[in-house]
Amino acid sequence: MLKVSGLKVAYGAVEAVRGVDLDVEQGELVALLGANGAGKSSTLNALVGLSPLKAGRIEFLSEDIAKLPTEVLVRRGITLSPEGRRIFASLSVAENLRLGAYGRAERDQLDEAYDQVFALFPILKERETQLAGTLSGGQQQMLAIGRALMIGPKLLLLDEPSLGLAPQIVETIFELISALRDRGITILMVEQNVAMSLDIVDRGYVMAGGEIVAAGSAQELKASNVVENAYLGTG
Amino acid sequence: MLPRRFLTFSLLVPTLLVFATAALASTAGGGVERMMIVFFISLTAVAGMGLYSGNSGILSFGHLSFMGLAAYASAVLTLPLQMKKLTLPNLPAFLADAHFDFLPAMILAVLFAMAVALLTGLIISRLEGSAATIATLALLIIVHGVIIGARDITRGSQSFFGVPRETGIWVAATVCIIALVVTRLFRDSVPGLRLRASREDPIAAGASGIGIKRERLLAWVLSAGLVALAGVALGHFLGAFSPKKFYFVDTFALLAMLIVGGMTTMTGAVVGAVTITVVTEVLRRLEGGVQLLGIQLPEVFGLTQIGIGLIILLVMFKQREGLAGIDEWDERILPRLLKFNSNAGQINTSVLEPTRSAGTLKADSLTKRFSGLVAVDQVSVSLRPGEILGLIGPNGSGKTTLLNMISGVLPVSSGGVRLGEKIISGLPVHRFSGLGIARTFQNIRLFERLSVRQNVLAAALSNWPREPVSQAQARATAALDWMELTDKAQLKADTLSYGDQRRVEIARALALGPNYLFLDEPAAGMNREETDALMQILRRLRDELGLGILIVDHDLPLIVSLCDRVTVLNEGQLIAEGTPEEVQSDPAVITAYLGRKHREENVA
Amino acid sequence: MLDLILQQTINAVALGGTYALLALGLAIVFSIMGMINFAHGELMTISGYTLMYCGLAGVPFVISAPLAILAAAGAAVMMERVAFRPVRNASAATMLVTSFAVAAILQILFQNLIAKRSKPVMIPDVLSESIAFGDFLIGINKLLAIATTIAMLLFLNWFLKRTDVGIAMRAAAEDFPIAQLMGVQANAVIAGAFALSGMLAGVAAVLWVSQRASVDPLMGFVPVLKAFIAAILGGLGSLTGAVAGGFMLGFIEIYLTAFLPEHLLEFKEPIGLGIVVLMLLWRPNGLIPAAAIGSQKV
Repeated sequence: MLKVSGLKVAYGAVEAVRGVDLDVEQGELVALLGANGAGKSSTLNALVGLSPLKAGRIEFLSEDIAKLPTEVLVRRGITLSPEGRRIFASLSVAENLRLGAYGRAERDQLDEAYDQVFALFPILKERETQLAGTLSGGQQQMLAIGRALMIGPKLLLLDEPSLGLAPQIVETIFELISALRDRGITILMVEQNVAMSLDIVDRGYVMAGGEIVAAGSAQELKASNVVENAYLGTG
Repeated sequence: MLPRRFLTFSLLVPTLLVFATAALASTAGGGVERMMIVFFISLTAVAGMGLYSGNSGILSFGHLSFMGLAAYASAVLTLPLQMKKLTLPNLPAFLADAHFDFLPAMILAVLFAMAVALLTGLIISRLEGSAATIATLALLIIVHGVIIGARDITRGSQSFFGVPRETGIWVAATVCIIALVVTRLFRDSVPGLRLRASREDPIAAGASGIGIKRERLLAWVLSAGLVALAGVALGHFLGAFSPKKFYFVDTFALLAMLIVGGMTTMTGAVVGAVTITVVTEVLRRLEGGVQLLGIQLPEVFGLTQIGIGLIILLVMFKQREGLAGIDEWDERILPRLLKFNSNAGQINTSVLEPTRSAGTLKADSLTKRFSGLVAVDQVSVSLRPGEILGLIGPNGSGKTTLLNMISGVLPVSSGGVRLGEKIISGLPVHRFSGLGIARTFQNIRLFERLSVRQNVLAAALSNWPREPVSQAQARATAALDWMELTDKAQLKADTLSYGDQRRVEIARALALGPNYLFLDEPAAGMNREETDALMQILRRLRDELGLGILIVDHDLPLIVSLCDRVTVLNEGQLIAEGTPEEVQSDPAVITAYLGRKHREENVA
Repeated sequence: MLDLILQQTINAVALGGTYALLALGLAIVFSIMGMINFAHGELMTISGYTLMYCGLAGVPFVISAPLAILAAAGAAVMMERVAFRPVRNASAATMLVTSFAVAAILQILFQNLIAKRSKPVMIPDVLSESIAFGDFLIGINKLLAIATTIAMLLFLNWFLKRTDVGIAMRAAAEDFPIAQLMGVQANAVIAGAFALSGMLAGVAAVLWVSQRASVDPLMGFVPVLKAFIAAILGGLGSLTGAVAGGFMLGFIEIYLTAFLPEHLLEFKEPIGLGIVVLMLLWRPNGLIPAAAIGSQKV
């Protein structure tokens, strides 16, 4: 479904991503792991045109999408739930969700999309009219994911969905992510919580210093210590 | 900052040029001479406007009000007494009997305008960016209204006539030279450098001890004085004028000169004034409709204004800094021509030693809430001189927020920061550097369009208590040397590589002569060799200068090999503290970094 | 006395409403692009000339007024496309200067292509009549101004809260890249903001002209200057602030005109602006500051 090769991202003189190759198959849940500053978020943002692409090819459903602007990519079916949630704080929950469906061509399926999101996150239904900025961190994360689902994505990118959330909430979020996969949504996620990620994903990539340093199935990665080294700088 | 002899040279050249042009114009006489008088007066005003707008970065629409005030003031003071009785019968007594010669009247008029600038500046200097610009617009309207309303003194919107025509080519040239010299000197003065630093990055300026309220006011008043000088000269050139002369049409023309040339330099003022004057002269001839290659062109009213408008658009689209860019002509030419070394002289690193004696820095149960979310929750840390403390934790754990609170950039929600016995949380940020606390930023914040040396010098000059300029220069030189930046000192900060930019930030912090240095991800974006070199430098800072260093980074090898102690945050809370080895094997830390369920089987 | 106060209050609401519409137009563009559009006044003028030409062509006012509003909205979109897009992400000063140049060019074009002097505009007679309420008379044009302002504010409130495009505009004002991530097209939302802002300028122009029955090349200049000041007074970029600032300025001006002693009347403009400046001294970020101010990321 997604095939990335030789991806480079540079902010001015700094190269944050130095040639990344990865691919995601239809229906898979794949994690992109690595310490802070490894270039994970930059990689994810580059896939939706939000970080400056220096080089590389991004193939989505067998089409090169590397040069397309964000708003077009979303309409093609890739969407991102960004790091730090970035919900529209001054808009209500309902307005945030409505905006999530802004680029959706099939307007007749909107009700269905709402139902789907509210079924996944009942709390959002309760808080529908509340300003998004007044939600708790966990609720904001649910809103961010729910908002991304509204467009009916073929590929969902999740950037640090557990960031800044209390442990119980993190567990809930992870359960939701596997539920999404079970519904057939293809997911590529960036996470710091390696252990929990490896419990739910099919495969993982490990990044360090802007490059992929390891890849494999969840089982393989759990068994090796390459992940630990990448995080703790040991070994 | 250029050495004095170069500054003298760079002032002498425009002075001679202006006088030479004036001499040529006076031999030509007639229309050419009149055109040059207007040109010199316009240049005076533009240079004056640039002194404020260029250095502060705030565009002003209000400067023509000072021009008008001064023109009227000087006109009233110099009007012959019998003329006054005739044309201004209701003049207040103290003005009715007053009569001055040109020069004293000019001085009084300029002082008057500067006094008004002082009052208005107190208000305008409280506003930022676009709001300040609109406030200057309000000023223009207010003063225009007052001039029209005060008809007993100004004859209202009618023409004020009979003003002695004292301004010839030599007066205009002299006034122009004064404006150019003052503008150029201010740009290179300590307040000028501070203002320019703050223009580039107000947050970094604050953290470098640069408070600019007074500097902004000073620039406003000085620039008002220069523009007022132009106003007096103009009044005494025209002999008769009305309030309209000091309103929007002329504001547009002068702003065009300022913007087209580039508002940050004296060179820009000259280039802009020449360009717009030439364009105006050419278009004005076409305006009346002329025969060109046998075709009769139609009469187009306002062609000059359209031309000026299009030139502004072109400059904004293609070269936003203006035709002359952001460097003075001499700054471009002299260093290359003469290869001077501004760091000449002995480098004495002892000037970097902390000037104050500092107690332990203690942050006590600091808490930060952002609209309901707790970013930092009751965290206490302490730092002594001569040690390196590492602050680590996963993304979003509150490290930078904690650093921002301790360095005064963010207000604390609760808790306090003490330095020795003194409580320092709650003080304005630019006071922190004066207490011996300096910092760098996660997203590099340099004064981008200033040179490396100016970046460091701006901080050195803003140390508290104030000290002689030579002392600050010595410290800037030493800081550059320490960070191995001496040979890059003349380059613009934004042309450096990422690693070099990080080092400039540290040099700028060092130039404050701090006891404590806070570094937010100093190794981000550096390669391994650069990181190793940085670690070497940081160790020397600890060992040789006895600094206390607080370092936030994700690079664990760096933290482990560099730090004496490490504090670990997770989800806003302190979860571990100790030597690097202790922390590295702490289960809580491993869990925080790798996730809750990690290796339960292995640990067990 | 009470009558006088009531009468003047109606005048103040009418004038303040016009300022509020103009300030709102400025604020919508500023909140999304960070740009102060100096050429906003020229949109008003375009609208005024449309009314004039329609009048000359015998088009009835009920048709010419919407046409005039449409003309301003169209001109605003064109202005953005031609002049402002090249400087879209530039500094605030660059954008301000660009719009300043556009304003100057347009003013001269009006003077050359249309007329240097003020031209009469045909306004239905009914607008210059008054209705008697007990002891005092209220001009129909004043009532129309008040009613239109209220209608526009309600419309805008509906538009920004109930339509997809309106919600997208609010989102773009808060976080532009993330709005794009929702599929909101940058060009479309900015064009929409300009269309809306032009429409507001057009409505203000119709109200302005219907009270003066004339139009000149600089017609929009003074009211928009006031609107700038109202926008700053309310809090730059804040929509509610713009409305509050506009009404506040209207009240200050009308009350000063009505109650200032005769010998000070000439100074009403400077005094009015002076009061505004003093209010800014008290609240440098405006009466109702935009949310974004102060939450800058370090």
